Amino acid sequence: MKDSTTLELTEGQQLALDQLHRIVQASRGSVAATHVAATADGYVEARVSVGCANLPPTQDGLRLRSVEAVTLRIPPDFPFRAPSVRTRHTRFAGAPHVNWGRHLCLYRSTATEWDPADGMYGFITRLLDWFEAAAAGQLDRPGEPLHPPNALTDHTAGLLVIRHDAPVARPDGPWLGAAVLHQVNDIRCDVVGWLAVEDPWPDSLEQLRESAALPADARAFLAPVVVTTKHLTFEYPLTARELVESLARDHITPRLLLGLTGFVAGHNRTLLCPDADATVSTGDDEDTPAAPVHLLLGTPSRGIAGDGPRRTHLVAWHLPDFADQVGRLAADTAFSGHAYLAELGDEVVRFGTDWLDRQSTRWMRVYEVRPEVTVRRDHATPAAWLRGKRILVLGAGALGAPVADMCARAGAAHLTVADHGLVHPGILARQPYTDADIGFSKASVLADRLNRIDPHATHVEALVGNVTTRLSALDLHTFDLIWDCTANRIVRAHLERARRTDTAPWPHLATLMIGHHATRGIAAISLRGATGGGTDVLRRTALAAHADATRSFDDLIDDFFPTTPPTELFQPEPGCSDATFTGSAADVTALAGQLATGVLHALAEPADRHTMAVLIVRMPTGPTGPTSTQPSGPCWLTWPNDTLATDKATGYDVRISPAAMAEMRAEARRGARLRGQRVETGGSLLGAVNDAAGVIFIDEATGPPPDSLLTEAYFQHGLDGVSGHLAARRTATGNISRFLGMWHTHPHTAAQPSTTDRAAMTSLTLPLDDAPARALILIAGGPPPVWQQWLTTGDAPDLYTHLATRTVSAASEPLPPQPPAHLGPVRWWPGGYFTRPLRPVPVPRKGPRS
Amino acid sequence: MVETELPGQGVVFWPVGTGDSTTIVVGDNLVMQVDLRDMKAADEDDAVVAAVIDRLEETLPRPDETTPYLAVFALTHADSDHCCGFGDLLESSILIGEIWATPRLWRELSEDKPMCEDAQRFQDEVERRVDATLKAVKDGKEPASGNRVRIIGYDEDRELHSYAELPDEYFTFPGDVITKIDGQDVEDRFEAFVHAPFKDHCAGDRNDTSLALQVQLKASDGTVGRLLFLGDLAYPIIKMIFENSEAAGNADRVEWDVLLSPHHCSKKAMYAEGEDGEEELKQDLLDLLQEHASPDARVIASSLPFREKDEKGNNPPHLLARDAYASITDYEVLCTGEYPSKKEPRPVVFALEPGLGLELVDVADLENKARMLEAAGGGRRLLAALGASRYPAAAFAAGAGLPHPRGTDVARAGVQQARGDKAEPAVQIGFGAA
Repeated sequence: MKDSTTLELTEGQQLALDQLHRIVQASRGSVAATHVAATADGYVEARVSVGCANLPPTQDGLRLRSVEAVTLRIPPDFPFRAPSVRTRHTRFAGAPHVNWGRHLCLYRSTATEWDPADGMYGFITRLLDWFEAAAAGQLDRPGEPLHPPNALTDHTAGLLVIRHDAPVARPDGPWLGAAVLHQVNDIRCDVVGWLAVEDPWPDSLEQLRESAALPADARAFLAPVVVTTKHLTFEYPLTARELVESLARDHITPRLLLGLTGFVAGHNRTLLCPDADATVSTGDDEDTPAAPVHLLLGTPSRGIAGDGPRRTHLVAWHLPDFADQVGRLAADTAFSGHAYLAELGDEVVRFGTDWLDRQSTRWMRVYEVRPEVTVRRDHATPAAWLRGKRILVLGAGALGAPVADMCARAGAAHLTVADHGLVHPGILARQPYTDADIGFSKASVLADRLNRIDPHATHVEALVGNVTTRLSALDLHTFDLIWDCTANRIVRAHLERARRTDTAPWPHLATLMIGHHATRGIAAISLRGATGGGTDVLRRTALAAHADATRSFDDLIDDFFPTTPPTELFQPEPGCSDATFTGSAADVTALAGQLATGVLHALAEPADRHTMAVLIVRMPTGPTGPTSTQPSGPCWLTWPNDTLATDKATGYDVRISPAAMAEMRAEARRGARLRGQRVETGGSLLGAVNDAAGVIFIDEATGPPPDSLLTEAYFQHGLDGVSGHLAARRTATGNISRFLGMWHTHPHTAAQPSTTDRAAMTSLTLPLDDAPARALILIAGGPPPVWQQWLTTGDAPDLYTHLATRTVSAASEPLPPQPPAHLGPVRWWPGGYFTRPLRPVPVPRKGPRS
Repeated sequence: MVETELPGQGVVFWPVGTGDSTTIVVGDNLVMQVDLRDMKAADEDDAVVAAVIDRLEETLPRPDETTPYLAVFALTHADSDHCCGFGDLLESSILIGEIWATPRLWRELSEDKPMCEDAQRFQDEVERRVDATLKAVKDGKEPASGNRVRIIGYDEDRELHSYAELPDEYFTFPGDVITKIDGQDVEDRFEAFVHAPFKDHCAGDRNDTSLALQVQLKASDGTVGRLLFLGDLAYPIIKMIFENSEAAGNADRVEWDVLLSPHHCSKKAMYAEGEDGEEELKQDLLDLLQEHASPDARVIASSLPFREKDEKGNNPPHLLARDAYASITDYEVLCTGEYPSKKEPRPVVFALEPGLGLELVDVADLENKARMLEAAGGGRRLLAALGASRYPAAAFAAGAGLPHPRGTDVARAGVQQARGDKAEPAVQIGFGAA
């Protein structure tokens, strides 16, 4: 290697050469560096040859010499910029990852793949990788995206965004036609459709817009397109002459190019200047093109290697306005079909060809969005579920606005954002609005912004107004998912009720909430067909949190389900402003993101049978900081559907938890075994009534207390231990689960109240001090097959429920220790663990209670 | 997949110290030798050198099953480092079909200049052939193989010598193309274009009268390999060769894939006195060389290993020349005394690969193929057999096993050793601006 001290080197270049020198020294002739020279632009070029004699030739591989030489260009700011590599020869031209015939592309993205600290060592390793892959024919391993042929773009030539899958050439000839361009602004056009020459072309701008689903005011025009049958071997030439020559190999002559350009230019005039009368048009009109001339050139070179046909790779050549004129002239003469114009046509084509030859190729920047050649960055994430879906977001605040944004970016087809609030200065600290938005409706501002994310894929609508009153304006069944981000108890109750009273299954519902200091978040998920909505899922979350013996949800209870309301409310603005939580933009965005991803994950991969779930996330601050013993990370709880019944008195939903059903069944089975098939049994029910939602929650059921009376015709609930048990459960559940009523069975008979039952309902015989004014009567029964099925398999029995209101004041006298006399002498059993019946009851002395 | 066959055409540059000895395999039993340096006393220069004649005797084709056959011997000029051992060649069993000679030796003899014994033997043999040819011509016959001779170049004193009586077809002058070897028309696979000696230099320094040839080997698919032999010519005449060729529309005749660097990589090829009398680099010549080089062109220095630095009075090879060649080609200059190692040099073998051109065959590959071909008992074994020659010095070297190919695996190990750690660097973290 030439002594590099005679060169003017930067520190980095010296480092590069030192490292290279060390590699040469250590590689026993397999890496050699020869000439080192500085270039005028501050680079240092080093010629390096690499032994490739160990690489056997393969059928698909590049044919390598036993030694391969390359020139490294080492930038002055090495190692903060990677060197580049080129060859003097063009033997590798046309291979993947070879640009301009000579430049080897070693890095897809130097930002991540180039390690400055590893410098030349990593670079030479990459070079060796490249040669090994080249020899093995694995520069593109199957499944890896192909390196697109590189076209050096000219930033002043404009920008093209390709949205629609491109046509491919037939084996027997090129594809000729036009691209439908939507001019978005002065520099950018989107390709939104393709028209082959043999297709019918739209006659008016309106038709064109309609065919491409463009809005009525969209600027649109056509651009000539040629898709070749063969790959252009020498990449994309810098001069028009070279380009025209390489196209000629695929039988695309300048005559054809001019004719097509002229035909499209003429059609653009028809579309864009329909009033111009050709016969009286002035010279000025003739000279001014109706639209810019972008010639699109497709080659069959893109897609997934080794897997089906290659897709069309597209570049676009921006032509001067004159192309419009000369093209139309060529179309009007050479392609007129009139023999007398043929000679003139030839002259025009000759002139046009000369003119083309003198042009430089100004390649436009091309951005690909074509589904056929692109993969969405979120394709393998839970957010992929959102693509093409219809989404309703209630609330456009700290949670709703980011969630709506996520839905729009994920490619939801339709998004409705509902909020009644206006943007005010305080929320700018954490909600994605701006100073200019102050005073405007949050929903409208948000919808405007989200509509700009991907107007081709996502349509966003604002629903301004009170969610509870405006919701009826929407057909909720058309949505796939509703996000309740209002953190509003009223909205939640309203949804719970609306959901209950609707006969058709509701969309998935996700209810999102943030804790008082934005350190925790909760997402309650009710899948389509779940028995409970947000209120229900949050209620059972609270129950589960209270029931957890390890107390790992204590922080959650304090934050979301406190038994006593927090006394310190955060009211950021003076006056009677809504209390809110403390939290930053970082906090709410983090929580929104985690909750949204969790919800979408649950939707994309629903857990078996479990239709309701809650996700709890905790921020890496506060209670889950490094010194905290609180659990961190996300936590899931899931539930299967409840057993449903409808209350006869109110029409309310009665939702019986699986635990309560199991307890009743266990007692019924024990009774059948001990007391005989027909002896009734029963006990207390714990739960709550939510009148707003119209739901009666049955959380627990207990068996008969020891002083109960169990007979074949009658069940009398005892009192022993009941008060204590209820109090204990009440405390244990943080007041959530309370005395709700009583259940008993009607083995082998209809689940209907008997005369005795009916009589008892009005007095609600349980003489507890704090007995509520209403109590639920639940009867489980059914004809023998149904009853037997319940006992053996657990399939729900027939259920009768009735929320009865006390019309008689609570009795102060104790319960009679015997069945009512009108039943006559019967065999009866006490509750509890008695295994034998007591004697038949004699006719009582006292009259029956009524 | 390992190809056992080597192409049937190619060239071998022998490690013979600072001197030239090149064997061109034309194909179909035709082999051409350009210059010879075979030193029985292999330690003469304390050099590791090839016993070329022995190897030729062993490996040359034997069309009659018994006699090793060398179709052509061409001598660029009669310096000892180009013809040493010619006497031994004559005394060997090898039949030399045809000899290409310049008129220079006749002039030297008549001027009574000193010449080495081998040069004298060469001149005697050439004169014998001239006589035999004249006799055959007189008898109306073609001279037989073994008696053929071709005189290349023009000397003003030619009329003083008997060779002048040869018919025109036995003469070739600069600008002519030779497509016949030992009487056989081989135009479809071989052409030798004669660049020098020029008439104007016939009375000059002996080096300046060197034969200069561009040899084209042509594969059946049309692939051409171009070799440039410039003898011991120096800057002015080399430049003239390029300029004359360009002027005459023969630019393709100075194109080259492999250049045997003139005068064993002497700096005189591109350094000459400037106007101030000081030696200076003649960039114009380098530009000419580069302009006509193919992208994968390689330069051979047929010499002893390069010294650490050039010093005044040193004979070739010169580091200055090596650096100059390196500046115009992508590859390092291949020194026959250093390839693949100074300790154990091997012949440098280029094979004409269809579709690729002249391709350096790795030593390990050569050895493998030679062994396989030997086992297979046939095939196109000539290049391999020639290339796999090993020499006494190497044979004694401890553990001189099969050489390892120069490959990416060795390079990779080199990178790791240079980096100072076997471990690959940390894996990628982050995704940049994607």
